[in-house]
Amino acid sequence: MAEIEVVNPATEETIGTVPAASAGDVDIAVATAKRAFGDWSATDVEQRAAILAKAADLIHEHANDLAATLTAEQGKPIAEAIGEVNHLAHGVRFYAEAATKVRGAYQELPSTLGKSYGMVIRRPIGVCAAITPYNFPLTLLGTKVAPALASGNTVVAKPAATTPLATLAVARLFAEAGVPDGVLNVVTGRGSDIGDALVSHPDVRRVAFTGSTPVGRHIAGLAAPELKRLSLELGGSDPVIVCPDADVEAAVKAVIIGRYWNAGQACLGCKRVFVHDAVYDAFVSQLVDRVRRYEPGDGTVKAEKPKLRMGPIHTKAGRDELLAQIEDAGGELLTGGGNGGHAKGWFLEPAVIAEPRDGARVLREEVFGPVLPVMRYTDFDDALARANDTPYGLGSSLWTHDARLIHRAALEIDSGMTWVNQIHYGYDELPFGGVKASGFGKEHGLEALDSYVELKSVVVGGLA
Amino acid sequence: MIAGAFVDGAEHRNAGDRLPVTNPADGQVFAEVAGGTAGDVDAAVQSATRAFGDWSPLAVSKRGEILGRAAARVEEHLDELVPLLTREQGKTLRDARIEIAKAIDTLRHYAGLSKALRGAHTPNLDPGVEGYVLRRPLGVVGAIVPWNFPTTLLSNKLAPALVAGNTVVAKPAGTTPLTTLRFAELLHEGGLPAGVFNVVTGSGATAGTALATHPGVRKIAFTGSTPVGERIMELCAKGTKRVTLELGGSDPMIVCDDADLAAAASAASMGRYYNCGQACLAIKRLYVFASVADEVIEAVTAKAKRLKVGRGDAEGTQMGPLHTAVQRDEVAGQVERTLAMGGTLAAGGVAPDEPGFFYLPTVVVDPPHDSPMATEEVFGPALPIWRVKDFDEAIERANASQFALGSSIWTRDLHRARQAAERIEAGYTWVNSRTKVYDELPFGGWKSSGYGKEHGEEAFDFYTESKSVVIASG
Repeated sequence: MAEIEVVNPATEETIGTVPAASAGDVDIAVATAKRAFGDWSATDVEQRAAILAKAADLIHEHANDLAATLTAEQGKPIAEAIGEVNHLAHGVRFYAEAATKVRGAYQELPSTLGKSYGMVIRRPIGVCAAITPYNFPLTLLGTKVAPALASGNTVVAKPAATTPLATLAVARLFAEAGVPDGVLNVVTGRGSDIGDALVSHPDVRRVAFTGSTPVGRHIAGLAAPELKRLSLELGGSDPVIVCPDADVEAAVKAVIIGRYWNAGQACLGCKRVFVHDAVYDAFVSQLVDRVRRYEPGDGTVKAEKPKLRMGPIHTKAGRDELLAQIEDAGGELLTGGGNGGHAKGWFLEPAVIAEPRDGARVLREEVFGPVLPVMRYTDFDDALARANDTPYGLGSSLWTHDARLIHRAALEIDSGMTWVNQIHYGYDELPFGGVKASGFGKEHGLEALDSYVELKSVVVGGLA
Repeated sequence: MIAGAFVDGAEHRNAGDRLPVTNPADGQVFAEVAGGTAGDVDAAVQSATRAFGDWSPLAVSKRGEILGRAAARVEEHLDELVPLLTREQGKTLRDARIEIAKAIDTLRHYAGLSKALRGAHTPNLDPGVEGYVLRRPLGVVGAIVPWNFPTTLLSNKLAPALVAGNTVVAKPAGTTPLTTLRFAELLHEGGLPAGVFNVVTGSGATAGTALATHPGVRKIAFTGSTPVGERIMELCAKGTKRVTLELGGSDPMIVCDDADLAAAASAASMGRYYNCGQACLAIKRLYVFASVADEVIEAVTAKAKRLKVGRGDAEGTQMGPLHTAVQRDEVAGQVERTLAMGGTLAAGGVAPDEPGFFYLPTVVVDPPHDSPMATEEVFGPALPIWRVKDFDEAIERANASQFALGSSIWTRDLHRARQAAERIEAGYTWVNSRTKVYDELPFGGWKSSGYGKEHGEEAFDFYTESKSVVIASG
């Protein structure tokens, strides 16, 4: 079988190989998942939950090893990798605990057609495909696999071709925790080789995809003819609005995490910041000071204080795209944009761009890296209008304590989430998902469980 | 002598009289515990009040995590707790293990449920006006727990109370203080903060009354007899304390002519003789369609006669002694008074002449419908069985009780199952199922069986106050 080399983005060295699966391998994985579905879906939910809880424990126990693998293949600093592994464990445990708490419904019915009653029952869907990207290979796997398995489905997961190793390690821990053979399968390979085969396979009844908007549209097209259930977590260009009464320091700190965590490679991030004229100068000067503390480098090596480590961009193509977006932006590049003097590795010094030109790519497109445009505003209505002037609608945030503005932002910003005075953090407790070109369907929260079952209405009649 | 209380994260010595702890298998006193006075209860309530300040602001998921970890500590000591429970309570080692494992499960269930707790939001009440519903903890909760299931009936209160952000003062029965005290100690070793969960042992008259009348206590969760429950409700009226009352029961079971008779007989036997019949939820009246009655009576009687009665800690024992001599005499008296009025003794009816509070599994067939076994709660291993002519009679008889806790029916007919679910007055109806209580479903009786729900997410309704919040942003 052909193989794919997995490359460390900080060193450009090959750290391992995985099989380059073919459409035939996808067939085998789906057939396996289909066979396993009968027994797994009939297993007590309590038992499924107990296995997931055990998996969460094992992930927690192996956090250091998993994080090391993740950093080597993905590039992110080790502290961020550990954060991701812990978030995965938390998410898996959330569904382990929630699984036994979900209820159907009983419904009284009119007796026009004879005495009867109704029930709303929940049934698993079948084989689910989980297609995950390279930026958060583990948490984005967990948000699909955990609710799918908890609800009684079986899964074929396809990690990004560049980040298969941590995913395989996690799948082995699920098996060790007691997930039966065939219930969770992983196929490695390039999306261009096997993605279509997996999505269009007639026995795959549900597809969960996280990735770019163009690929999401392609997947929606493939899934449509078979009317597959679908959730698409796609790109974003989250606006942040900083009001005159904002706690500027807190807002800067949150924006820093929101834009520069994971070297800016996150669907959910602070990607356009609109700052009121009254606090603009203070905001920008604090922001630039903090951004300059970042030192791009190998994620396995800690930066010397007060410097902060930022990993490389995951691929060369990704970095080249960012450089082109910076080049196009106009406005004033206040900091960043170079490669940090590295001969190897796809590094980019984090950038801040003040007031880019109207229509610049950094405002229209998703920017998938550590590059932040900052815009001045004077009128809140204008800020809201510009915040909504994007094809995307994933996250958004507002910095103020004014109840009127909070109310307006909650109602008027077109996005799946609004944070007020908080970083853009995806809580396991709340549903997560975008509107407009950011996709549809929800991950996280109890709502995600709803998307892994079919509801059936049952009417029992003929009663005396 | 044992200090008798666990307050503010440490052992606390009660000031009251010595209470003997007796092994029901031999009648021997094996420990003495200092009884709690009003002063001891006050110390515990003060500790809980102080702890409330730090406990209630924690994230609900954090409280769940802490409780889940603490439960793991109890589980590590299961082997130590099981014989202790058997010794003070009398139940078999097997039943003690089942009980404590279930108590741990319930703690875990609510720990997990902590993640799924939500309020409600109502947008656009008026232009620019939105509303939401907050849930706030009550404060200090008093949990009064009986001797029949000292740990599960504690967990049913403790888990939702703590996850909802309350702090707790528990009073176990005067005769079963030991397992509860150790349970509290283990939970604290497992990371439960000091003062969040306090225990004061003692008599109901002294410690129980002090707890129910303490002005710092916002709610009493009580499991016990109906007369005491009514008394608690009276005491709680002052200060309008919240109450949940899980009281007596006299659960009917109906066996129809189309039922799986062997399975039904087995469920009846288990439902009546488990825990030596000392359960609020137990099959206490059995109504069988006349056409199949002989077969069911024969099967239940055979099972009753086969049950191996003995010390709870002896190998192979299936049913232990009753918990106290008073309890045994009460049951024996109910059977005796019933037989004096009519009916046929098919099994048991005898207290063996040996140390310990034993009473043999008893079956009485067709006693009068106004006899004690029909109208009173029988809190021991004695089962009356009646022949009924049809379904309507069965339902009518089932409902002819002041109690309304559980109920069950055995039939393959959907109509009958459905009718029973709708018409039997009770908080629970099992169809073709053993009467197992699930954490997933709310549990609680109607009529004289009490008020409020334990188990299920509904339990939270009884450990929180809701508040409607309106925000006008215009």
